[in-house]
Amino acid sequence: MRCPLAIAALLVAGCASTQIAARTGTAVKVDETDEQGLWQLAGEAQAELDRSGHLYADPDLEAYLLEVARRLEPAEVFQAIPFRFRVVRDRTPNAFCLPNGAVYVNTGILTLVGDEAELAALLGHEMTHAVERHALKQLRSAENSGALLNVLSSWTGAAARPGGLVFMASVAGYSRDLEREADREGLGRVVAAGYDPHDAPRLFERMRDWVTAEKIKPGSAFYASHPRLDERIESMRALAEASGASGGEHGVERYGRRTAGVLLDAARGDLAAGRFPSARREAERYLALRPDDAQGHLALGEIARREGAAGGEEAALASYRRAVEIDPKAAEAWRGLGLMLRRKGDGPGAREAFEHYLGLAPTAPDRAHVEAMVKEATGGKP
Amino acid sequence: MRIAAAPLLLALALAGCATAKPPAWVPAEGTYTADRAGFQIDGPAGWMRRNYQPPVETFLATRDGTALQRIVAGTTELGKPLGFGKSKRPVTAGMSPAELGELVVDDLQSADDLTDVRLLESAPAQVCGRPGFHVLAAFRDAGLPRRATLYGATDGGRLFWIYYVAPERHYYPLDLPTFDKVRETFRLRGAPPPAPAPAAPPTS
Repeated sequence: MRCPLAIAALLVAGCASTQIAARTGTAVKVDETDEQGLWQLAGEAQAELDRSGHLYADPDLEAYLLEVARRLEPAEVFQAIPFRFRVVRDRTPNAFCLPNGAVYVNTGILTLVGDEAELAALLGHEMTHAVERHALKQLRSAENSGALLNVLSSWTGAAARPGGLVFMASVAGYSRDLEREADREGLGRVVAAGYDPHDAPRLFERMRDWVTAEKIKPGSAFYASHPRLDERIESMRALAEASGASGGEHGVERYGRRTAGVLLDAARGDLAAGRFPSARREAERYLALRPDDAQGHLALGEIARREGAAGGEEAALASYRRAVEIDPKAAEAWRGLGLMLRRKGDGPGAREAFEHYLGLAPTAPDRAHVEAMVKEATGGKP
Repeated sequence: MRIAAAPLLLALALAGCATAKPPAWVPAEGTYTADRAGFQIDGPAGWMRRNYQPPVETFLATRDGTALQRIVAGTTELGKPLGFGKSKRPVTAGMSPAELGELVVDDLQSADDLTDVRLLESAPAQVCGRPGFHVLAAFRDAGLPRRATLYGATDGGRLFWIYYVAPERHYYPLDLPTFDKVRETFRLRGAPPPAPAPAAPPTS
């Protein structure tokens, strides 16, 4: 890992030597002490995040985000602000950009995004915060230096905890005016890149649906940043209309192909947390993209088995059977099949499935359990 | 989430005394009876214990502080989630020991603050004289590698569990023998205390 302080120093130096013309508002001098301090803090927060253990490490996905981002901003902007993209394993639909161009996108929002045009709108919005120096503007709008210091400390303090990142982006986020500016400027870049801007409001609509489905209450950290989702949906619709674009690229297939793994990961996370309806939706969306993927069918089988709902036995069995049909070496699917057949009282079937599992995973951590169930299936006591 | 904190905080919250003074630390040595939870346990000498009272009664013991090692015992009603992490999946009657072990790992994986959760072993075990399960898991808590070993079994509408968690390096192996001794004394209330281990045969 590169030294974060060195990175911060480079970023500050790079920024100081390359003026980016702010598209709106007052031009900001970039070599002033407060911005250098801000960038240094951002570098430290970035380093904390990167070693937090909460990142969703997928270089291909990060590369995809960068590809989309490069369509939104000219090369000179990337020279001044070396945007880099990381994905955080967090089901909260959120994303944020540090002033030094480090953009963090939660898996939760990637599962809500429907196509590349929506992703472009999201990234365009976040990148605008950095290009237009919104953090600096917000800090300078603080009425006194004490308030400024408080914001700076809360930035690093919150960013030191992965859960606090949401808090930082939400509570210590940007003013309504700056968010509007990011929407407007971001959508302008989406149109210029050839995407259909009319897709952008749909992401906010899904976020609103998510807030409703999750029963997010006013006062919670996430809700604090999104009390005006309805307003933003309307605003995005108006901006899309005002752009004059009558269509454009959607990138549905490309987005699905490049981000499908996030859906499977989200399904597994929701499965572990017992959020079965969400897990099922994500697994089904994954299978719609990759219908012949054994892991997707395995996930559906696990969801049906662990949920234990009426009628779930047959669904679980069908999914496990499909998984081992596609990939006979899918050990976990054989295990699930054995557990379901055991539950149904099919001793010989359970034994056969468990033996497949143990043959494929001889060092499985639950080997002793499975051996006991094999013994039970052959008439011995567990 | 810290593995010990969830049930303890839950206990406090349910009792409506989240701001009340926590129970005092007292020497752990001797038999502790959890009347409402329905278990007894013998605490280790030289450790301190603190017991949260009903409605969620737990036994917590440590020697050097809960961040360095802790033994926690308690119960979960069938039909309710375990409460270590954030999993909503309930413990249900008829779950096999393998499924109960799976539930524990799911619950750890759903905890916000734990990362890199790995199941190292899940096996059948006798717990409180009943067929139960044992789970050995590794994870990072605020970046620090830790290990947790948990034993559990169901009886009379409850899952009885006891676990030990400590930093993987130094502390975990150091106090594991103590945990094993304490675990052997974990019993349903009213059950006879465990028989002392047979003396080792004389060696020439």
